[in-house]
Order: sequence, then C-alpha cells, then structure tokens
Amino acid sequence: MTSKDVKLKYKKWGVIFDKFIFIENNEVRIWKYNEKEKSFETELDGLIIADNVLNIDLIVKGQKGSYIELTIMIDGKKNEVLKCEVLGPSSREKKSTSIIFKEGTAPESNIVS
Amino acid sequence: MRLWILIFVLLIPSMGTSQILLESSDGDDLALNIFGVDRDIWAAKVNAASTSFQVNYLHAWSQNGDEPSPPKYFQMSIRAKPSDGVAEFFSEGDFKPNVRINLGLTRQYILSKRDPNSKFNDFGTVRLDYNFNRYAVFNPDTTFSNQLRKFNFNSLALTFRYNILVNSTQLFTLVSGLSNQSNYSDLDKISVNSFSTIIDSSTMTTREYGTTTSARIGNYVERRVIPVTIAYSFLPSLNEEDSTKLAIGGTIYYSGEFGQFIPNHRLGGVLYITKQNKKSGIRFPILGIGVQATNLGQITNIEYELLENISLTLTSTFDLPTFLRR
Repeated sequence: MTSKDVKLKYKKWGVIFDKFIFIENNEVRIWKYNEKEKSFETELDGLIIADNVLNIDLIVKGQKGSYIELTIMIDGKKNEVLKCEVLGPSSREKKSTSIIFKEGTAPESNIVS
Repeated sequence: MRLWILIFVLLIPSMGTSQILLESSDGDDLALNIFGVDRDIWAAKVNAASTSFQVNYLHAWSQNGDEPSPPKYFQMSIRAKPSDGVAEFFSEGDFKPNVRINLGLTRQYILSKRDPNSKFNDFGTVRLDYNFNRYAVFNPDTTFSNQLRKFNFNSLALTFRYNILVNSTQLFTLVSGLSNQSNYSDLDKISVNSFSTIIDSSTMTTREYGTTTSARIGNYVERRVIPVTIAYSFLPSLNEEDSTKLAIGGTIYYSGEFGQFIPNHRLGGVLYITKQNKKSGIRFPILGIGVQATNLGQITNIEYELLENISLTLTSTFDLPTFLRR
C-alpha cells in the first residue's frame, strides 16, 4: 500500500448531463474551476493506493459526441490521459496506472507499508 | 417587417455558448436542454412569427464545490412583443406591450437515481410565468362609449416540465400546469377609425379628423386553462471531428389548452441548423424554421381553412454578451 499526492484535471466538450470519476472506487465530487484553462481540477493529497496500481473509472452521460478528457498527474510520473466519449446513454472508460518508480526515485516518505 | 427580422437573424454573428432553446411559432419554449452550462450565460432569442424578443439568463450551481455535480439550474427570462404585432406598432404608433417574465428551477434525477450504471436520465423544471398584456377589444354590440375598450390583462402560470434524455440523441418533453389566459390572440384583427366632423357654416366646408386604433373583435374571454405540450427533439451529434460542419436537429410537438371550452389543439415542428462552438463543443441553433397548425379541433368543420391556420416562423438563439461586444 502506498500514499501518493495525485492531481486530477478534466476538460469537457459538448453537453455533459452528468459524470462520475472514481479513484480507487471512491467518487471524486469536489472540483475547482480554472477559468484560465477552462478546466476543472482537484488535488488528492496522500491518496492511499493499494497494490501500487491506481485505478480510475470514468463514466459520462450526455449528448452524443460529448466527452471528458481526464489528465492524471502523479508526482514524479509522466501525465496520463483518459478520454471518455458519450456514445450511448452512458459511456465508461477504465484505466489502471502503475505508480511503481525506478529504484531509488520514489520518495521513501510515500511508502506506507 | 418580418423580412427585416429575417435579415437581422441571418446577419447575427452568433458564436456563443448558448444551448438549444427552441420555441414554437407562438414564442413558447418547447425544449430547454441546458446541460453543459458551467457558468452564467445570457442568451437572446428572436422569433419572426410572434415578432418577439427574449433574453434568457441561466445560472448553474452546486453545494459540492465549484463544479456543479449534479447541477441545479436557475433560469430567468424576459420576453417582449407588441400584442398586435410589429406592423401595427410602426404604422399606427400604438404600442400595446405583451411582456412575459419567468423564473424556473431545474434539477436532474426526478424519477431516475444518480447511478453510474443507470441508462435512464431525466430532469425537470418548475416554472412560474408572469404575463403583462395591454389589449384593445372592439365590441359593436354595446353602447357607443363602451365599444372600444383598452385594458390590462395580467396573468400567472405555474408549469412543470419533465424531460427524458434517451440514448443521448433524443429528448422527450412533457409540459403541464395551470395558467390564466385570454383568447385575445384568437380574435380577428381590425383597425378602428374614430372620426369627428366639423362643419364650417360660412364656407360650407366639412373637415374630418380622427385616430386609428388597432384592436381585436369578437367575444373576448379570460379563462383558467391546463396547458399541455408534448415534444420530441432529435439532438445533433457533437462529435469533435465534425465541429466545422453545420448539423441539423429537429423538434415535433403537440400543444393544447384544456378547460371548460373547446380545446385548442396545435401541431408543429421546428427544423434547426446548428453550429458548433469550437471551444465548448456545444451546438446552438443559428436558424430554426418552424411550421405550426392551429385550431385542429375544428378540422372537421366545413368552414375550417387549413392554410389560414398554418403559420411559419424563423427563430434564432445567440449569445448576448458576444453579440453586444461586436
């Protein structure tokens, strides 16, 4: 089990009826709007991640062709992008990203157990 | 006059973020697909058939942070038009305003639950309308001094609008409630000319002077009605790769009023051309072409003229701040 600071950012395209963003099976519902970038952001400090794999689940409902593009920013790791486009009543995209770093690069303070 | 409105509509450089705000030939809202709004928006609409101008304000908020999830919406609009049309206003300078102010609250998940696995998505709006109308009615069957009556008619309407989004491209809308209405718009338009005559006995000259007033003739009644509107809208796809292309959407609708009188049934459709905002991805109707048939309850009557009961309209929605900045 590892603790990590994770930043999330998403941008919307089109008419989104509702969206569900689950990180490690917990829905992230509080987002701050960044007027400059026209995006929504949140920071999850000290997120507990099981098995060194961060699981992200993105569900989007809305008008066909609309999408949400979610950027996952983990300290010391290249940003990853998960895009979910509305194709039917409800569209879903999942991603599992490894947070294991090369030996010697992961800050020891992040290791919980 | 309507030609000028058409030209105005076509010249509007409407590159805003407004939503699909469709309306009938009478200027009544049909479908209001407000999702995608994540900031306050001001949108304006013009309707050629009812010669009306409307300003809409939408506000989205949430208690869960800066981003509404799920959102609730507050809506306010003001619509103004001359009761007897623009032509009478300009030809006779007799302005009888018809002003409607409405407030609405919209929320998601009326019968459905907020569930990522649910394929059933619905939303509803409670709306309160206040109407101020200035009317003139001519009744030749009464005493001379009472024949031309100018008066105000103020009314309230409370409606509930229920919407279901099906398969992300189809929107079903049901509207009903209670409303105080009059039959003013169903009465025949006339011009009332009131002349006075002066006879100069020395020159034996007769001089006439007077005024002309636009009015309606017939049996004017005020009544409480149950308005019902059922609409089906086909929403165009918002695919990013087609963002430079125009796309067509449409709405067909039935609307009627029920009460202690012969119901007035209307059938209509609006076909609209949409342009996509390259930043938000939202499509908005730059031009809607509508057709509506009225008084369909009397269609079996031998005197019913279908062509006289069909009206065509052009509507357009545009982002007001963007338009004013130009």
